[in-house]
Amino acid sequence: MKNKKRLKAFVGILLLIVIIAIHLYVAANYYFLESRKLTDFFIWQSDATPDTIEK
Amino acid sequence: MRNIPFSKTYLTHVFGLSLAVCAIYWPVYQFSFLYGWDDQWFVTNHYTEGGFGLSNLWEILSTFHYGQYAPLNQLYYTLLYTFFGYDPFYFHIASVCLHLANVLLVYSFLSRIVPKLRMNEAIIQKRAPFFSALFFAILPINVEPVAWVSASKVLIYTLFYLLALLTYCKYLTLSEKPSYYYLTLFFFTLSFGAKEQAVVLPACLLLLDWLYGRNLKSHYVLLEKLPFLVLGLLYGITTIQSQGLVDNRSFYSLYERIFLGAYTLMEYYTKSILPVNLSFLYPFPFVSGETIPWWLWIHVLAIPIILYCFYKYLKRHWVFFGLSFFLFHIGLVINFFSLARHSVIADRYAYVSTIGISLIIAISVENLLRKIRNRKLVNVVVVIYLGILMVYSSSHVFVWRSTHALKKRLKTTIEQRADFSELKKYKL
Repeated sequence: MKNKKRLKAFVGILLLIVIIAIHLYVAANYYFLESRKLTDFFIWQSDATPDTIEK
Repeated sequence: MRNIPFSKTYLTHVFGLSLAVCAIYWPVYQFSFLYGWDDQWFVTNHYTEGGFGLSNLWEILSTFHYGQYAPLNQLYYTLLYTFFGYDPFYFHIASVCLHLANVLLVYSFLSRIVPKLRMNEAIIQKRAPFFSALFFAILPINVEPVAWVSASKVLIYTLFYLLALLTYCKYLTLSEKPSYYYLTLFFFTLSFGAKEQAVVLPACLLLLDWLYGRNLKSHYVLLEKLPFLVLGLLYGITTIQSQGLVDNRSFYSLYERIFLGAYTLMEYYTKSILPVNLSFLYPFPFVSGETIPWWLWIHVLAIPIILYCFYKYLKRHWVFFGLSFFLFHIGLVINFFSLARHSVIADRYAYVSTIGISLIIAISVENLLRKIRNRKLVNVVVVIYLGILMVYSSSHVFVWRSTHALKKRLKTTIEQRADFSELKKYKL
């Protein structure tokens, strides 16, 4: 029973560490994500114009 | 804490929290508006300059602005402009004041909640609300809504959201006094007036009902939530209508959204506790129709296994409350529902949900201090961790000082991307 509890805790912590490590890797190197959404974003931002009535 | 509102401990905690906020955010007084990053339409617009005349007020309340419905936030800009004009100093100082108010409200809210978490140790009841609020105050992921004027809607929504939670706690403790119930409804409406994320309040109220030991199967308890649900539904429809005005770019399929949802959830969690390379823009991990990267499969498989492994731990009141609070508030923005965004996550969306994580971390540390022999070591580690968070936040604030600084930051981060040359033509 105690071994089962320990095993579960070990597996849980190990998986959590693996996932966090993936996220840290992505955060440190996220230029490798090739999403074209980023390009869309800059097209959208470059279309932006101020909406003021103040001179 | 409510019985000793002006005790020495209370005043020391309030002073400590105020000091932490000021220490991180003092440089914002010299920051400008980000005219290349949404401030050019959210802040400087004809509604802001239109004053408090009836026609302008009606326009603010009845129209969507760039796919958003946030009339209270717009009124806030109008108010600041009426007194100070377009002086970024006052807009930034107001944002810091709102953040400080939120930190103190978090402290007040958790002071009421922690005694209900079935932990008898007086020291935990006394210290956990303070350390949770401190953690919330200094988290680097919470810098974005404070240092960026256009994100003030997050701060205003949180202010009224926390007031709604506090008045609901009062309602539960003061023999269900109706005035507090109506106040909760009122603050809920104001909170939605600033940001649509407030629609999850009914779920959060049920969480408080559970914590206060109310019978969740009771018709009265459920009927009580009906006005909140009706309002939430109306607010939800308003949000969908406002979002409909924005062109819907390539949407991901339900199958793809399962992977995106799992990835986004863990991304918010990791970025909250281990802030590495925070940005104002995060690329999607894959484009709709492309092969899903192998490392995203790990998320979908691992999250249920982790939950199974920690099932017993999750049943503890404080873990369940903190985790549910985090999930309720982050659930709307994990890309499972809405995808009309350019960035897979945004730091500001995690603002309220970090309260749940802060609570779990604060109580975990307190529990560790009780159990472990080498308390000195734990104290040293905690002080170093808090120090790192403060230093990170203090430097991250400067990313938001001008449009140039903001884009320069992104440019240095993504210049190794394959499509970087393509991005350059958009004046990055």
